[in-house]
Formats: sequence, C-alpha cells, structure tokens
Amino acid sequence: MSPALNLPLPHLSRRRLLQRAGGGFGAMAFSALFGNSNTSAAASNPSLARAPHFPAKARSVIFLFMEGAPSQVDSFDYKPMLEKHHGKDPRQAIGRLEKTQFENVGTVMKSSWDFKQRGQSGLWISDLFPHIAGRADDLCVLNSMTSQFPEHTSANYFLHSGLGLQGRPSMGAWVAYGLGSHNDNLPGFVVLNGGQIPSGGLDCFGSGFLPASYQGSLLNANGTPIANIVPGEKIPAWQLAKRHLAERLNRLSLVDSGGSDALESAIANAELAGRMQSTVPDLLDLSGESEATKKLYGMDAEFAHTKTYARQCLLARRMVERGVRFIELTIPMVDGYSRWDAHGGLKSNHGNNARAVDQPIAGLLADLKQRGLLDSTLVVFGGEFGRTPFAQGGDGRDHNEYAFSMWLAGGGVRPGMSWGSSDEWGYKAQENPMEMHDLHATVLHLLGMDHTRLTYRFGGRDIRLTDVHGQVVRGILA
Amino acid sequence: MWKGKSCTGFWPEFCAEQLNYRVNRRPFKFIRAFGIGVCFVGFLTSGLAQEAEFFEKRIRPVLHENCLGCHGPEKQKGGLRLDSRQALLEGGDSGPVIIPGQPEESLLLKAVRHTEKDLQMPPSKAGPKLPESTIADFAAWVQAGAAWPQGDAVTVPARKEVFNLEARKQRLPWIWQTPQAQPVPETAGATEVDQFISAKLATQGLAPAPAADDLTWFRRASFAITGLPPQREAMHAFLLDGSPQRRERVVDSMLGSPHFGERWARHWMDLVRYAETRGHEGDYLIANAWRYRDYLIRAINADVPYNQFVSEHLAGDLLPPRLDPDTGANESVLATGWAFLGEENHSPVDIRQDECGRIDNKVDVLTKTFMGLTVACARCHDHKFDAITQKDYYAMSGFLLGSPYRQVRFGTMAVHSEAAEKLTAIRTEHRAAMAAAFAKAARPAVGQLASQLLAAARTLAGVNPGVVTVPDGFLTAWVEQLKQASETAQHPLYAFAVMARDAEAANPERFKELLRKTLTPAPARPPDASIEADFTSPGATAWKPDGPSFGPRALTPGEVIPGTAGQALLRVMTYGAAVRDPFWNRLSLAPGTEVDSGSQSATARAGRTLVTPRFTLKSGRLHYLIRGKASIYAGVDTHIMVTGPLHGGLAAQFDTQDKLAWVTHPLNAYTGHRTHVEMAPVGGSPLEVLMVVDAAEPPAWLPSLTWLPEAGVASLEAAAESLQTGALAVLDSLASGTSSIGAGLAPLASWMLQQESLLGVNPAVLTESAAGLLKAQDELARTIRWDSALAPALMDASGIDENVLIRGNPQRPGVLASRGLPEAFGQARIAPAGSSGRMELARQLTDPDNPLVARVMVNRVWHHLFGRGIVPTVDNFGFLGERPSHPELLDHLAWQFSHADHWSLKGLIRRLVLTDAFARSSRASDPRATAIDPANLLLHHMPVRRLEGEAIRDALLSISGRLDETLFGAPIPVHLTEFLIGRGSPDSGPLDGHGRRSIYTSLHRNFLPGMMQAFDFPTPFSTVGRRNTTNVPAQSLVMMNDPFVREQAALWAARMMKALPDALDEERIRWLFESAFTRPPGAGEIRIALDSLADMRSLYTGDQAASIWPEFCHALVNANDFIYLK
Repeated sequence: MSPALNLPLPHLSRRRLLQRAGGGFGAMAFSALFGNSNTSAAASNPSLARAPHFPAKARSVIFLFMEGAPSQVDSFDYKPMLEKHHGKDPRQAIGRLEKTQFENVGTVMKSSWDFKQRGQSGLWISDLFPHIAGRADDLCVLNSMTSQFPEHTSANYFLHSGLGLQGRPSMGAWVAYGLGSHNDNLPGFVVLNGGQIPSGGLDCFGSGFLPASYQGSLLNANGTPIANIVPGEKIPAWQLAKRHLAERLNRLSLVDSGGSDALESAIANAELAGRMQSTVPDLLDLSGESEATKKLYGMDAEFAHTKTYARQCLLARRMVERGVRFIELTIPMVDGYSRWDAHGGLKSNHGNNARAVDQPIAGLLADLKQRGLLDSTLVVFGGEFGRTPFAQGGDGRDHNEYAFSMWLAGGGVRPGMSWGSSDEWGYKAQENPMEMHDLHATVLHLLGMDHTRLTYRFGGRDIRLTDVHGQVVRGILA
Repeated sequence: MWKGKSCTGFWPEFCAEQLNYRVNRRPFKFIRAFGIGVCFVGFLTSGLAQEAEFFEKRIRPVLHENCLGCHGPEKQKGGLRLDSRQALLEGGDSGPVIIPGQPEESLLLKAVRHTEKDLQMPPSKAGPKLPESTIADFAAWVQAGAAWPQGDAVTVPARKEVFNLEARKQRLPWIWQTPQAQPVPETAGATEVDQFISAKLATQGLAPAPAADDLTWFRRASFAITGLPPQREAMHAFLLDGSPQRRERVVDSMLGSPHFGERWARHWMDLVRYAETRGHEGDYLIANAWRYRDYLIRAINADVPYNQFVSEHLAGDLLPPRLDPDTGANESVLATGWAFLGEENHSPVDIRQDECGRIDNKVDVLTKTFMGLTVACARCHDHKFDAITQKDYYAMSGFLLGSPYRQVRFGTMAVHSEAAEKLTAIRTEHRAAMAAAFAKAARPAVGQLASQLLAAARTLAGVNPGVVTVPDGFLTAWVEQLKQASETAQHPLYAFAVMARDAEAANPERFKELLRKTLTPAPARPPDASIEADFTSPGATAWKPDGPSFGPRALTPGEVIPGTAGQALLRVMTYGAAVRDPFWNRLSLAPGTEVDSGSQSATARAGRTLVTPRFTLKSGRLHYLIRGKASIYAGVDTHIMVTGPLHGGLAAQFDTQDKLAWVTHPLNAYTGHRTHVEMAPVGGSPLEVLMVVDAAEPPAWLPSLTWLPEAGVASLEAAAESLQTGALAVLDSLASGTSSIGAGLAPLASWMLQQESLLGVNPAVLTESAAGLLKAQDELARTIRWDSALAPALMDASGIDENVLIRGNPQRPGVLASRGLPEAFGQARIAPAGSSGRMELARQLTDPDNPLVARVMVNRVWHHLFGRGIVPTVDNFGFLGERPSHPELLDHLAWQFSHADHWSLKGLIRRLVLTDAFARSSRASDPRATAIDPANLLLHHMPVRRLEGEAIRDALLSISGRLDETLFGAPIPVHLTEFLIGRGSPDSGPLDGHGRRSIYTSLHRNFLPGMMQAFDFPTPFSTVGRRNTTNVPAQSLVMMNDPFVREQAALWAARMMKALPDALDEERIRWLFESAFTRPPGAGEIRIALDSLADMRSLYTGDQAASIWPEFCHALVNANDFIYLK
C-alpha cells in the first residue's frame, strides 16, 4: 500500500467523490480512502460500481457451496483402484494414513455410483449427478483441491475468508468491496439461504473488518426475503408520508450542518432503502418466468428440497441479471444438520443431497448459457474439503483435506476440462495441487482483480483475501 | 507450504517470500552451465573420481531439478541455498541441512523422506516425493561425507538484513520515550488542551468554529459520557441553571451516573473481543462471561485507577485482591477473564496448532489493547516495520502458556481464604488437648500391648496361649485384627501378624525367614524424572490449588490432624498427600451460575481442584496415585472444549474405593505435548492425591504403611515388645502436644487412632475432648457463605518460556524466548520458574515510565470523545499506523493522566469534555479551514458523527420510557429472527430485550443481534478500538421497518399523550422534539411537522387517524438528527 494514502485526505464532497470513483480510476484507491477514514467521507455510497484492475471475464459469481464436504471419489474423481481394493485394509493398500477426525478407519470403499465419461470432453462424472453430468462440457473440474483444516468450521472460514479463524471478510465481501455493485438497489453480496447455515455461522459471510455494507445479505428462499424489507405500513402512501417528513427534516438539518457529507449521504441512503422495498419483491416475483424455465430448474420436482434449491438457483440467475456481484447459495436441510457430512450412511446422505441440487444446478447452467450469461458469470461448485477413500466405520467416509474436487463453469474458465489430479486413491493431491488461496486468486483474477492488490488496512496491516499466498491458476483460463 | 500455518497479517511484497513454494520452477540455465560436467576437478573430501561421478550423476542433477528453484541463487526460501557444500553445512533458518557422515541426523534426509509432517520436500505443490532410489543416493552421499567439487563457487546465502533494534526504534523514536509534561503554548484557550489546539490552528492561520449552543453541547456530552440522550427534565434544569459552573456540574453528574460505566465498558469490550460463546460449530457457551462485563461497569464507575485496572487484567489473580465493598467479592480476579473470551474449537485435529492460534489471539489482544503494538505480526518472523522481534512475540506467549483456564469462585474466595486461616488456627488450638486425652485414655491398654498381642498371636497360631491376661472379648477382637492384618500387606501390623500366624514362629530360624519375607524390599520409588507432581513430601511440587478444598498445603507423614464430625476425630497421616478436607464439602454454586459446555465442566471443579504445574508428556501415559473418587482433566495444549470426538479422553474419572492405588490415564496421542493435570473429587467423596507419574507402566511403588520391627529383633516376643515400645512412644508424642509423630511411627500411630475399642479408649473421652473443636468449626462454618457465583479467570500454573517457533511452525522449535515485554521497552526479563510471571509483567507495564500504556489509553479516550484519535490508528502506534496530529498534546495528557490525575479515567474525560474544543460547533465556519485542513485534523470544528448501534437502540428505549435502568446481571437472550439462524442456536429472547440497555443483550458469536450488525458492531475476534462507521440501506431499513423500532415509537407516542392529554399539536411536537433531539423545534420544523400531520390525517381514516401519533413518532426517529450527533 502506498504510504501516500496515509496523508491527509483531500476534501471531497460526496458528489465529487462519486464522480471520481465512477470514472473508473483505481478502485482500490477509493476503497482505501473509504476504509481508512472514520470521517464523513466514509459515509459515501459503498455499493457504487468500481472498475477492476484489468478487464474482467466475469461480472458475477455464483458460489454453490456444498457444505459438509461431498465425496470426490463418489462424484468427480474417478478411482478404479477403489474397486480393485474394495474391502481391504487401507494401511496395507494405501500405506501410512493421516489422522482423521474420528480415527475410526474402516476398509477401502468403492463408490456406490457408476462413473462414466461424459459429453465431448469425456470428463468422468458419476451417476450421483446425472443432470450435472449432462453439462460436463461446461465444467472445469478441479481434482487437486486441498484445504488446511479437517474440521468443518475452520475449513468453512478458510474456504470463505482465506483464514481458518472467525473474523476475516468473506470472499463475497471482498468482491463487493473491490468492485461495488452494478445495481444501486441491491447489495453486492447476497447469500441465498436454502436453510443450511454453515457451521461457523453467519460469520462465513461476514465482512470482518471491512465495513458492514459488504457483509453478505441473507436472503431467505422462503419467508421474508431480507431483514426489514417488508414495510410495516399497510398502505405504501403511509410510509411515503413518513419518509417525506423525515426527508424534509433531514434537508433542514443538512443545511444547518453546513452541508455535512455524512448527513447528505444518509439522505441518499434512506432513499435507496426505500427503493429496495420494491426492487427486492420484484426480484423474488417469479410470475414472469415461463413454465419451461421453472421446469428446467426442477421447480416442479417431487422432492421438496429440489424445489427449494431450484428456486434459489433461479433467483441466482435473476440476481446476475440485476447486477449482484457475488451470490452464494447454501444448501437445503436435506439431511438435517448432517449436510454432506456422511460419516455414516453415505449412500442415502449423498443420494438425497445430490437429488436436491443436481437438476437445479444443471438447469442454472443451461439457463445462463441460453441467455448468454454464462460467459460473464462464474459458477463455483464445491465443499470445504473432501472425504476419505476408505470407510469410516462401515458405510461412511471421514474428512479428508488432502484432496478433493470442486468445479468451475463460465466466467472465463476453459470448459470441458479437468485440472490437477489426486493420487490413484483420490487421497492426496498429486498433480498441480491447489490451495484455497489459489482458488481465491483465480476467482479474483476472473473478476478482473489482482489478488495481491486487493487490500484493506486493518490493525496496521494491509490484509488480502489470499493472505501471503495464492497463485492464479492460469492453466484453466479460457 | 506448511499446513495450518498462516501469517495473520501480510504485505504481499514482504511476507510472500517465506511460504510460497513455487510450483515446478525449473533451474535456470546458467546453473546448468556451471553444473554438470564442468567441475570434475579436485574434491574436498577425497578427490576420488568415483565420488565425483556419483555426485555429478546422482546428486547434482536432482538438486538442480527439484531444489534450486526455491533454494538457489534466485530464491532462498527459509534462508537456504543448496548449491554449494558450504551452503548446505551452514543451512537456513532451521539450521544445517546436512551433517556429513550422519544421514539419519541430517535435515535434508528427513525432508526428502517426508519423515516429519511439516518438513516435506519437495513440497506437495512442487511435485511428488523423490523416488526411493534417489533418496537412497542422498543417504549414501551424506554418509560418505557429502563430497562436492572443490572448484565450485562457495555460495552462502546472503544473510537476511540483521534486525537492528536501535535502528528500528529510531524509525519512530517518540513511541519508545516516556511521555513528559510539555510546555503549554502561550496561545489563547480556555484550557491547556485548547491552548495546544489553538497553537496548531494558528500555525495555519486558522480560526476555530464558534461554540455550539448549550443544548448541542449538552446532548453531545450526554451521549459521550453515558451513551444516552438527556431527559427533557434534565435539559430544562440545565437551561435554568444560571451559574457559571453549570457545565462542570452536569459533567460531574453524568460521570457519577451508573450509565457512565455502561457506556465506557462497551468501548472496552470492543478491545477484548468480548462475546459469551466460543463460536465455531456448536457456538458453545463461555460460562459466566458476563461477569467480566459487570466487572468492567463496576470498575469504571468506581474510577479504579487505570494502572490498577491494567494490573488486574494481567494479574488480578495474583495481586492482593481488590474487594467489592458491599459483597466482599474478589473484583480483581474477574479482570483476568478477558483471556478466555475468544474462540475455541471443540475438536482440532492438530491440537498444538490450535493452541498456537489461541495464544496468538491472546497476545494480539493484549499487545494491541494495552500497548498499541502489533506484536502478533512477529509470530513467524521479526516485525517488518516495528522494533519487535519474533523472539518478543514468543516472550509474550510464555505469560499465557503458563496460565490455564478456570472458573473462579470470585464471590467467596477472599472470605474463604480468611476462613481457611481461622480453621487452621482452631485446629491447632484443639489438637494438643485431643491428642493428650487420647494418650491418657489409651495408656493403660498400650502398657499391656505386648502381652495382648502375644496372646492373640498364639491363639491365632493354634499354640497354647498360656496364662491369658486379656478378657475374652478382647482376645477375640485381637485375633480377628491379626488375622486381617496378616492378609493385608498395607496393614500396619502386617509384618507382626504374618509372623504371629505361623505355627513355627517360635523357631528362631523360622522367625528369621519370616522376617526376611515380610521385609522384602519395597518396590523402588519411581525415578524422579518421571514424577510430574509429588505431594508426598512437603514442597516437592508447588502448591497451587484452586480453592480451599485441599487445605493450605499437602499434609506430611506423621502429621496429627483433628478431623470433622462424621469422620475420624483425630488422625495421623501415614504418608504425605494432598487431602481433600471435608470441612469444605459444602461448597456450592450460586443460583443462576452458568455451566461450562463439555464433558469436563470447569464449573464442577471450581474451588475443589488440585492443579499440577505444566509439563511435557513423555510416555503419553499418566499414572495417578490416589485414594478416593477423582475427576481428572489433563489440560493438553490448554485445550478446554472437551466435547469433540477427538479429545474426549482428556477428561476421565477414577474410583479407587477406599484404597490407595495407581490409576492410569492414557494420553498416548499427546506424547511431546505440554499439559498440566487438574484433579477434583467427585461429589462428596474423599480424595487423596500423592503423585502424578509419566511412564509407560504404572509404578509398583506405594508408600510404606506397615510397622516394621527394629533391626535385631529375633523373636515374636521381642517383636511384640518392640511394638509396645513404639506404641508408647506414639502416646508420649501425642501427650506432648506435638503436631507430628515421626514418619517411622506414623503407620502405627495412624492404626492406633483407629482402634479405640481395642485400646480400651472410651469413645466418650475423645468425643468430649473434640467438643470444643467441633463447636468452633461449626461456628466458623455458619459464618461462611458456601455458595458462590463463578467467572472465567486465569490461573497461575507455572513458568513457561516458549521456544521461538521457526516460521511460526510448532513442529520447529528454535531458541528459548524468556518471558518479558518486547525488548525495545528495555525492561528486565521475567522468568520465575514457578509462576507465570504475569505479576511482574503488570508491574513493568504500569510503571509510569512505560512509554505506551498511558499514551494509548489517553488516545482511546480522545478518539471516543472527538471521533478520531490524536493517533487515528488507535490500536497501532507502530510504523504502519498513522502519526499523531498533536504529539505534544498527547504526551502532555498522558503525563497528566499518569501523574497529576493518578490514572483517573473520570478525571481525564472531565478534563476533555470541558474544553472549548469539545464544545465547538460541528459547522466549519472558516471557509479556509475546509480548504487547508479538509479532514479537520487540526480540530477546527467538531465532526458530525453517527451514534453506535447500542446508543441508537438505548436512545429509543430512553425516549419511549421503556428503558429498564437495572444494572448488571445475566444477559437478556437475543431476539432471534429469520435472519439469525444456524447451529448452536440459543432460545430467542424478547423483542425489546426487556427494555434493558444494549450492553446486556447476549452476545453469542454466531448470533450477534441483527440491529447491531447493521450498525457496524465489530465481529468479536480481535481488538477493535475504532469501529467502522458505514451508511448502508440495512440501517435505514432497520429504522423504517424493524418491529422493535416501531414498537418503541408507539410507546413514545403513548408517553407523550399521557404527558399532554389535551395539548395542541404544536405543543406535542415541541415535547417530542425535546425528547428525541434535545432541543425545541425551529419554526421551519414546526411548519413541516404540522404539514405532515395534516397529510397523514388525510391519508388515514377512522380509527387509524386516531393513532396518528405513533406513526408521526416513527417518522421522527427516522430523521437523521436522531441518530447523528452534531
């Protein structure tokens, strides 16, 4: 960070500030100015769009977070060795094993789902995800992901914020901070909640030391969508009358203050809040969507959780259309709080979880593509770590942070390929191992940001999403 | 990179070098150029062509291909090069990488063999493990002496810039100098502070803004000091007070209000990342965390001098306690709870790494909060900018590593320690008389002991007892006693009974043989090296119990102990031990005490725990020699969340019934980890603890419990005589009033005291002699409060100096860092072996010469009052922080604070609030000021500021009349909404939090109140001295639509209607403005308000029109003047 930013700030009226920020100058300078100041300048509109460091491939990200850690060897990482050695002692077959969460090591366990090569690309995908398998040629499967933590909470924080502890900004918050929003009437980072708040809680979506405006706005798929978005007044005119009174008083107060930036911004902010009360319901109103579209996502599915996730995916597309920068989807409560965490009963756990998300995700990819949005929308799919190739007990799999699979689609990523590999067991990453920091660096890169330059000064340090790490994985860029 | 390792702060250009192993970087061409095939000339070690060939064919290419990308001329990760023999011998940060001739000892081999989890080369990112054949080549090469061609250039890595402490200090010399009183500038100004400010303004030729009006000042002061808006009545009283001291008066009154403590406690809570749960997956409760919050409020209201306040935070458990004058509770110990308000993970796979993270957080909070330094930056390397070394970081860690967690009985601990002294005095007073009474009563029978024993022995052996002088009943009893004794090796009469039972014992040869058998050498004591705690001899292990239950010290062998009703009234200790004193069995918990989560609840141990020092587990198996029922917890790596699947075994229960026995606690997974052991009795059971031993197998040793005849005794008769002589000696001892029978006679004495009837002692004699003791004990017991509240607190277990962990990696310990403040402070090291050293740390920190402690606090206060610190980065005075706008003023104030004002926070606030600077209008009047100093660094006016979320919510409660001014107490559960969800969800609380101030709403890490989150409440993870102030729609949505806000607006309207049932609209509007904005409405505002009322009335019909005022009130709190301070 340039020391120049610590010098006294030039006085800017809010309008001038916004003009400059909107003019596409270094967005980071604006951000730093904004973040470092506790004075009235900080009251400026943080959701304003800011230019990236360099031309971006992706404008928005949809993160399909599969909390609980789906098994790579049952989905996207085909390992014939598991069939061959099924039932054997993994210490004999694989060799020395790392400690696991439960230390209840069973035998080598083959997948319950058949793997096939799919599409033109010939990517191996199992029958666990039949619909997604149909979109194989859109996917870039990462088979060499690693994490540092084999516990859900730490790993969730790590995946979201680049550090295994509570309190760092979530990647959605970093994106919103770096790029602002394309839509004045919606937040830059929205969490579409299917019901499963990850372990670690809402802080997985927190803004940490970044201003609160960048925290993920929780939008419930069912019930009240956003906190306090529903007017308490029965008739819109009633609220308008109140807002009118407040605004007239505010104008007087503004004059009295000699034109305080803080008060001026607060007036604009109240206007925005007022507008959001109608834009959000409009966003959620699916009556304009065709039956074919709804069907594509699986909104007519028998399985209630499929319907929930279908609605989330459809809303995600609508948010992309409205310029929301980062949309994260949590999964429905398919298996209670077990999410994908199949320490036992892998078959039913993974079967049901996949059933909930498979068709909606495939529908989302298809819909984005047909609307020409996939190229500018990066879809990220994956959990916080993977699972062991050997059983935990009889029919579960324990946590495995040494190798797992995620996939990306759209947004400037090469489609129909796989990147990196795990060893022959799917146990440890082997070729081109990837860390979370690499994933973060790559996501930021696709959004036009240099991960080493997206910083925020807190507690005397310029902090990054990627800590001191991270390499953009150039091999997967389109 | 190394797993779990993370630089918690980073500058891309500075930190990146250490951890990013670059993937598959190919060696550079010029290396090849001088590499293979070039230097087949002379070899250092042998010069043999074979070795040359081996090196060039098998070693050098591998180094080139796999290593030099990161450890070559371009990069030296870990400070290491691998392109010359010299470089390998000197090594990098972890030391030499080869020891010629010793491949097994060489780091290079360990790295390529992946024998250590955290030293695996090439790193997984860069490529697979080297083939076994290559590794074998390396081993052979090192074994043979690591030959290298002489012609190669010596390439020693360029040593990193040497850390020069003095040079670093010179970057910012002022922060290392003690603040001094400064000459006050001779400019105009109402106060010294104003003179400093005017002088600075004058340098720019600027004039300050005029004073704000009285009411603006009044509202500003009220929020600054109490966090609440003034009441209308107070406002009118202030306006009516014509005296020139009226501002002083209201400031004093505000500072005297209990709400002052609430306001400023909340500021402090931001610094210590206060929360009441541990976050993570289950968001488990930190039991009784709120006691710390209440402590803050009381301490701040009592104006505890800041140096005392700091000392209490660091060493409140070790200081002479500061007692609550009303309750006698120990206040100072409560302050230490800050250390445990952070996150805890229930099941970390790497428990040591997890500890490092927790310690890092504590060091971070401690150093930022009190010193304004970012010491935690130096966890992995010397600080990049400040005069802080990596060693300084670990020197601070030691203080915390030796200080485990507990729940402390703060309410009664002071009273109990006083009572414990009285108890000792009472027992000392009565012991001699009781012992003498016993001695007197037993003497006639003991005088006959030998003959009685012999008669019993003969009967038992089936030999004619001869002339029996013992009455029949007694003989039977004696026979039974001997029979039992002969079967119990630990019986005091075992040796005698074995001989007595043998029919041939009269035969001298046979007697000798029996004696030899019973005298079989006792099993050896465990070797000292394996004894981790020893309570069998006084002082062997430091005595640091938690609470009074185990008495003032371990008991010694032979000690005469008066007992308690229901137990033996008089007892002699056969062996030394820590013994639970049943007097304290009545300890209980006060109603409402929160219980710790986890299988080993600290709340159940409170006040009843024996604690060992911390030590490193060697065998991984601990054996405890105990008698009774114990609940034992091994504090491995200070892990306290014992609920997960992995570490459940840290807690265990053992029951040896009434026997002295070894029990085993398997902790094999933790070999090499640091732990201490906490032992507490289960329920009302007795518990004696003798020893904690770390060994593969439980020791066979037990203390000798049996009486042995003197050497030379050659017959049963002589043995009986010897016993009688011993027994008489015991009686003599008891009669003399001694406090301890000699250790040799202790088993016999102990046995005698349990044989009242055999020794013909009338029980009434003893009972009578004990009556005084029992009465005195009962009286004492009646004066004691037995139930206590608990609070999290530090405990002083032992002195631990932490190793510098190379690159922050716990697997790679480096040199020891003896405890102390960062070296730049120039203070002595603190290294008491038996104590955490926190007491000395507190002393050094609060020394008035400490350059930072007073400055940092004065600056924090300034920040809260003026909206920006003199040093704006209030938590970081270092190089990456910002420079002070008024350095002389800051020094002057710091000096006044620590000298003239005796560290009084109230004095400081009073001083600042009564300045002209604080009273200035927030409207910049001089147009040149906004041009020259647009950021208002020189304070020509007061900035407009938004209130914090807490102040907004509290203000709503205040104007609505709903505010319940009750102080303190258990948190009010947070009101859950559809947006406050997740695992570990608490029960939902009332919408209005029972009208209590926001500081009393529960703070569960994963369920922070929604309204607070919208208004920039800081995530409680580390020190946040300066909150963000954002302006986002979520805030307006709260004010517009949150049911709580609407409810309060309605209550406010009702309150107004009650006060003014028949008033005109205009009068009501005036009342509302005074209530919400601390001022009457202006003419324009009245017009607008009347207009709006008319509009609303036209919109609403029927009943709704009658309820127009709640709607109007709701609109008023949505006006900016409600949540912004001018």
